[in-house]
Amino acid sequence: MRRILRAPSALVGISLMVLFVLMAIFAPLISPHNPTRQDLQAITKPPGTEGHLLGTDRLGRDMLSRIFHGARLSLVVALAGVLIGALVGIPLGLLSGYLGGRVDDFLMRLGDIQLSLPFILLVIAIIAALGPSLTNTILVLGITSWVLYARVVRGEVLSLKEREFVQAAHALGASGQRIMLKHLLPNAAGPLIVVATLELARLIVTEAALSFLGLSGVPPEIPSWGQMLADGREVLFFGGWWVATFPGVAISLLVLGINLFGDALAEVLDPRSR
Amino acid sequence: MALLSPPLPTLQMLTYLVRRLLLVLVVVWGTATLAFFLLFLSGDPVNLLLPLDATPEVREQFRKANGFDRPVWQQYLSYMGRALQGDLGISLRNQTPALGLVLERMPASMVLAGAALLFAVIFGVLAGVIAAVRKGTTLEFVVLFFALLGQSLPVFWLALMLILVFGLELRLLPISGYGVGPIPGLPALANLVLPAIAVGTFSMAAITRLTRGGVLRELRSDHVRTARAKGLSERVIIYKHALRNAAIPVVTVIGLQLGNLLSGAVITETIFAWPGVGRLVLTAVTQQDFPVVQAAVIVFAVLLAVINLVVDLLYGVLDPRVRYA
Amino acid sequence: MKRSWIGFLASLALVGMAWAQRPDTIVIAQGVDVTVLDPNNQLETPTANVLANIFDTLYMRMPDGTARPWLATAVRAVNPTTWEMTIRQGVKFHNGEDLTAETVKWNFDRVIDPQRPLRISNSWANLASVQVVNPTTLRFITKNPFPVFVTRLTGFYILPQKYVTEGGNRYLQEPVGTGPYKFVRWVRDQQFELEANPNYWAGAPKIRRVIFRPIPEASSRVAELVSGGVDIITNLVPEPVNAVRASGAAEVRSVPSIRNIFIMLNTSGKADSPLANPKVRLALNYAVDKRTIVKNVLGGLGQPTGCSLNSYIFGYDARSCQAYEYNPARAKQLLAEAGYPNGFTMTLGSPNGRYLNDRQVAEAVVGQLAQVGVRAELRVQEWSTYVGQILERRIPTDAVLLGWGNNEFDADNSLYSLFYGGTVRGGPRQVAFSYIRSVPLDNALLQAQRTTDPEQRKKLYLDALRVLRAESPWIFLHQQEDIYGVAKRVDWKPRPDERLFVAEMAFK
Repeated sequence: MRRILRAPSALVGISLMVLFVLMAIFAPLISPHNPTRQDLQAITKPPGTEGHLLGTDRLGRDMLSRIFHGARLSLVVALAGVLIGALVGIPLGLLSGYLGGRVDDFLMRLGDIQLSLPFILLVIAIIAALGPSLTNTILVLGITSWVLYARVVRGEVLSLKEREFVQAAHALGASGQRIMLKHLLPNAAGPLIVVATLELARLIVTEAALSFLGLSGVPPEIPSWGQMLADGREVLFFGGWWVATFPGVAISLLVLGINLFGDALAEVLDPRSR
Repeated sequence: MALLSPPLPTLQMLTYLVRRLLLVLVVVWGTATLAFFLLFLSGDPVNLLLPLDATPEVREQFRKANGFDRPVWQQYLSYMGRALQGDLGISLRNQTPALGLVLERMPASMVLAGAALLFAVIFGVLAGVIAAVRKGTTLEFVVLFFALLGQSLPVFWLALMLILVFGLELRLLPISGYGVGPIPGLPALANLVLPAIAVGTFSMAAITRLTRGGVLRELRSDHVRTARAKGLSERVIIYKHALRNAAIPVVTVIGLQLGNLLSGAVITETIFAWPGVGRLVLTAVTQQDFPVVQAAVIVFAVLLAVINLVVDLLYGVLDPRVRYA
Repeated sequence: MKRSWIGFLASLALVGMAWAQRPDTIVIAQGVDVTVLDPNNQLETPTANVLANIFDTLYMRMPDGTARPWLATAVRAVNPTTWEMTIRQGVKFHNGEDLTAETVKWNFDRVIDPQRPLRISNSWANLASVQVVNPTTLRFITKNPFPVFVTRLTGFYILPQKYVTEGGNRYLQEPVGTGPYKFVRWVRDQQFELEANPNYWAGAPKIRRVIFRPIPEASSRVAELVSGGVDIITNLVPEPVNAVRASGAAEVRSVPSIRNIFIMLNTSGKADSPLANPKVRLALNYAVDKRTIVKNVLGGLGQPTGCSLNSYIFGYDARSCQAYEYNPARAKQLLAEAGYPNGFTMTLGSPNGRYLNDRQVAEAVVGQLAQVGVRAELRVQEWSTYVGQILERRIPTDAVLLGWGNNEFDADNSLYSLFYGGTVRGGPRQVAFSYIRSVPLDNALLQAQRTTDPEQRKKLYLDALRVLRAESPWIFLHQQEDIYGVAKRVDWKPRPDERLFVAEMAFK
């Protein structure tokens, strides 16, 4: 950890992440207004308007408060999505790598198939079947991201399987389950953490992209940067640049923070690049 | 030139190829099947084809005429049967063969993907080498920061900003469309610039970081040290040894990104009104034009599988240590 | 060496400068591309907008909403189920084929063939047969009286019989019509080119060449308009209007559209559920401040309504269509009388980007309902799923926001289609956009559809409107306006039916 902090870029990254996490946690305390409170008499007011530091959106809601609360949604969606993806992907990757043979073939082909399907189709079909909600949106994002974790774990397992300590555990009569959990998984932790960080960034952008395309299932009463950006883009060039710009900048900064951190993490965890 | 000479085909490699091609078939079949049932899940295609107040009789007539009145498994079997003969059905909206609609959009998608990749590789490798050679300087920090920033800008945001700056403010480049280029079927160069940058920026950032990592590792390796000892100039060392050995990670990213570039350009194609496959798929999915979605899915599955295969073979060319088993 | 390389790049870039305005060509950008080239097998506004320049209809909708003879010169009712039509003489298709009564009959036969239904077939389900009386006269026999016969002719295009039947699939690649513009070429998702038909029977159009371009992203459309890339853009949203005007590069023109926006309430619940109570529904209508929504969310580009009709539509009655006043106190009182002094909780569905600021309107409604204690949760869905659920009557929310564009300009299409059938055995035959059950309403709507006397129909529709007023099965919102961005050099007035007839346009 100390080594990570030494890199200036990592410091910037961590600061950004901490900033947004604090923003999310304390959103209700630091927001000047209720983020869902509309004022139809004061729509699309520019930044600096009295009481609205960042202006108001197309329904007269306070942009600053919505940016604060939007951090919650982005972080929750991305974290939960990563968690689901990892929970599905890691066991499948372990099985695939450890058992090999038909199981491996089947799981890896399933991964190929999943990656060949257009993401939009998956989203629309799943949201249509389950209904639009925050949970279902997270579910879609999580389920569709298992392949990467599985592939990474499988790769690590394949390279570790033949190593002495695993062979030794095997010879000593350790069960397959024990070998996978005690010997293989911990050794794959490094690359997995790096992948998870990158995925965190990707899911934040993907959630926003779904809102941009009008396919997100997140209910409108939850402030979301993606939705704010989607709402604002029609007035971006003319009539209200701030409505889309602030969420756009917020997404970029949070993702930048995560990437800076992930980059430093990768350098530390990957012994070859030291 | 040793870089480009392929390894001699061996029996082992042939078996490998045959096995891989069989797997391609399995994946394509699996993808088509899954897509079929996902589409079924997403709703009744007749809903959107008729006026909202159409009578049940007319709806029924339509279902019959399009074969939607049969049980799903029958529809599936007959679809697969026809697909095997190369018939991927007629678009419900456009009344023209679905496969044709998809293939018609391929050049635009490929040109965009190719231009984006070219942009990404040229600037990515350049920035990566600079960052590696100038390790520890402010220049490295600046290059890496911008690379990461590039990787962090959501494509829709980047695309809108590009339009704002180059299209609206500076009026340097066209805002949308394919334009009429000097070569029939290809876009005007000016129209290609902004979409290519929008799509390519993410890959450029990834390539920058990978190149830097690869070059750094090589610069510290034994054979570079030997080369240095032999008195070769630093420039020659970088270009001849380091860069060549850093090619593998770059090829990996290209393989990974090419699939994304082709199918993942939905938002870019929408914003820039680019006539590519991504936009076609988005429209077809939201219009429930099942045959078109299905055709696009199959074409993509094939393409992706072939790209993966080519990338794997390229590894073999670039790194003789990789064995085909 | 280096310089010539740069010069080469610059020249390539210049080749791409084709986006600059050309004096004889008008460029029109819509959100989506044409889908098919058969005007009688499509239902999309953007497709119709392009094809209506190539093909003519038998009757023409005028900008004021009335229907005027076009390829037909006259239509008269012989008896309630028989119509006689005379055809304009001397009209030729772009390929030289003559327009005859036989051509018209063939077109109708094609649409009513049950074996090969077309997407407009539903409108002609009432037509039994068509007979040619002489080369310029036809007779139409309908199954039931067909009062909307003439108005539906404005949506029926005439294709050349020989070209279609003898040319294989060519008519789907190179459309040939009788209209003011001839097809030049179409590159899907890129552009659709037309050129003026100098021999057009109604006189050659003023603008020589037309290019339709699909630009899906609204912000890109506006950017193109302001930078001079296109001359007309459709579906502008209200907020940029002032800024676009201020830019000096283009103008904004709008017209009250034929489309009304409303919220359909699920009134079919048990007697003790809030929405089943007419008092509650009345309260909701009083609780929504339509004037403020129109003024602020729609930039003033709309008109509050109190019924499903608007002033273009035959059968409209100003008094029974007056918007409910905004009166939160009255709403609260009605809710208390109905047994909900503290309000209640409901769910509301909304599409996203289907109608002018639809999601924003829904959010504003939710905000206003909250002020009388009704807590509405909003669920936004992608259109195909949303409309599918409504058509199949498995609506997951208690209410849904919808819009209805009456393309027939007749109350039949806004009343029968949306409210009929609640008391008919087996439920509504069509998918009604309400759950209302009223015998007098059903009787009035059916009778109005089965009689050809305009005065009697007007009376019946008045009865129907009164029932609806008493029952309030919807929260009536507003009639929206269609907003266009128009380059300064173009002389054109938008139409209520959303059509883009280039023959009505000219360069200043």
